[in-house]
Amino acid sequence: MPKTKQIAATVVAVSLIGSLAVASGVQAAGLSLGALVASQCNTCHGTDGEGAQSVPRLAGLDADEIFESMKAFASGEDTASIMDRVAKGYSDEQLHAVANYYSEQ
Amino acid sequence: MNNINRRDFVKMMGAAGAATTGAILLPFEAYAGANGHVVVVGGGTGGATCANYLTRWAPNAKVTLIEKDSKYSTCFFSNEVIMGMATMDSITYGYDGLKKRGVNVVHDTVTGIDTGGKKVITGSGSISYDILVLSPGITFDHSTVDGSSDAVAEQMPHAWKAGPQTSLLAKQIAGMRQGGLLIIAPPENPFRCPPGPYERAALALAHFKEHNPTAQVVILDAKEKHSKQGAFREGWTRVYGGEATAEGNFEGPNLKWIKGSNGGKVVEVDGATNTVITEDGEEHKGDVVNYIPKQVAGAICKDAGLVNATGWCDVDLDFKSKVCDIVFVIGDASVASPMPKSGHSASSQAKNVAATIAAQMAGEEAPPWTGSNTCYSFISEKYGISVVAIYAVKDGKRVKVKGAGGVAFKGKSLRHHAKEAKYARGWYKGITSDMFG
Ligand SMILES: Cc1cc2nc3c(=O)[nH]c(=O)nc-3n(C[C@H](O)[C@H](O)[C@H](O)COP(=O)(O)OP(=O)(O)OC[C@H]3O[C@@H](n4cnc5c(N)ncnc54)[C@H](O)[C@@H]3O)c2cc1C
Ligand code: HEC
Repeated sequence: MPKTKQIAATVVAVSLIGSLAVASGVQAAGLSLGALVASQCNTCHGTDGEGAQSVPRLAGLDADEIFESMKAFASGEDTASIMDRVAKGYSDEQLHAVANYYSEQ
Repeated sequence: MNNINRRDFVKMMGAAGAATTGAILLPFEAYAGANGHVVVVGGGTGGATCANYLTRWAPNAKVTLIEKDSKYSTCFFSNEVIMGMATMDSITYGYDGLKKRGVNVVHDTVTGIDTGGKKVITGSGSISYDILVLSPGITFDHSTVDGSSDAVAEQMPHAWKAGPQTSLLAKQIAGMRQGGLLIIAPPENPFRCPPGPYERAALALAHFKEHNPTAQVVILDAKEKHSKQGAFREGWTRVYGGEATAEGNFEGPNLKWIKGSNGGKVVEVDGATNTVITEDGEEHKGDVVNYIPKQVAGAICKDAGLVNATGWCDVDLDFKSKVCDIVFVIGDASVASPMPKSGHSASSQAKNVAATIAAQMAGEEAPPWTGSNTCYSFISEKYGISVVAIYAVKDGKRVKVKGAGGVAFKGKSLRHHAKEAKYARGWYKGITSDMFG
């Protein structure tokens, strides 16, 4: 794998120059709290919340609607086959973050 | 193999490393430039998902996925294939989706890891990495059962890695004589997919009800109890009849579950005669024997010196190996307790590790670790059950979030269980889209 090796060697050289990445403020796209929490929902709701067959789409829903839905699932106000058990696992901070994330997809 | 931990690594980096990276930066960050090379070993649930999310969250990184096979068949929904309810094609995927996302997919077998030299050794050479993620799944451990071997699986298929084993067991089940006996022999804990054997038994009953109504299913279990036991028993009873016995077994018209201490624990197998022998000396001859051997982390983990005395990889809260903390180990190979060895767990871990890597490359803090698991199982095609858990890191430990998760059963309506069956299919679509793009 000479090509791979060469690339890797370059990378090591570049990264050894130091904390360039930090200094230049390179952003990792989508590393918000909301994106990480959403990644855990995506397993059922599909990548980026696009919906997965029978499991509903979340992308593009209103953030308040998602948040209120989660609270209603957690309190038992809305019945669910599984979301009641899921929703109880997250803090309001996480729920606001994930609701905002999906509303922007 | 050359194992190093962070302290040794710091020593190796020496003055040059310290001078260029500054005292506060750990070596991990030092090597993980924003466009570093992440190598992921294993293109299954954990590895494919990790590679996919790295392309999203660390767009400047070079991501190489090394997988020995050109196609991957999911274990999830392979019980449906075995029982003739789905096709092998419907659970088999290629890697074009990941390639399109820019993942460098290499089909090769990793035969060694040089953690000091930061390269993996493959069948055709070696590949250097800045960051290594291992998700190689399981290997069978034949050491505790006499006669157990990889060769025995050609007569008594385990079908615990989806592929030719799945097709072989499907063929045996379809061809079983009328009134024949299917033995399912699950191993002791921990093993991949704790509810899997009991779903397999239920779907066997569903299959036999239609095609072989006098067939019998016997589960000879190495354990005293099993995953989702209450929900499985309720479902078995409601759909196929039967009940728990005074000795703590389960007995129905076509199904028996025998617990370890009641003569369920298999200690010897004989592929030539399709016979298993239990601890009490009893010989059980089956028409079809689904003997599922004990498991340990994928062989490469042991070869690289990353396993503990029980054969699994200890990891820290970020899923970095406790032996070499510049290598991540995720999925079944890791000791992730309280997370079970499931595809959903592997997917959850993969995304958190992708987040950790992406954040470190960008010189940022990753958002707080958040884990989840769901294992859906079918009692019949229209009756699903599930167990859910959400995980967090609290006081330096990975824990289940209290009050969340659990198993929904005890008199839930058939309508509820029909919904669970329906949503299980959605889950399958979701988790596989997260793997293969
Ligand atoms: C019958 C059954 C039903 C299941 N049902 C469910 C379910 O409903 N829900 C659920 O969440 N989980 C389920 N599981 C469990 C799930 O399949 C596993 O937990 C999951 O696949 C683990 O992912 P992994 O990445 O650790 O390993 P795997 O998905 O097995 O991936 C490992 C990959 O690494 C490759 N590999 C290994 N070593 C090397 C090497 N040295 N070089 C190159 N490549 C290598 C392998 O070829 C493989 O593709 C089920 C399992 C079974 C057996
Ligand atoms: C185990 C699979 C699973 C996971 C994980 C999951 N969901 Fe769901 N979700 C469902 C299912 C199934 C439904 C349909 C309601 C039900 O029966 O529970 C649903 C419904 C919803 C709804 C209602 C949508 C509508 O249009 O009515 C919202 C909002 C939602 N989920 C948000 C989330 C968020 C946010 C997460 C992650 C924190 C999440 N879900 C994780 C399976 C899941």
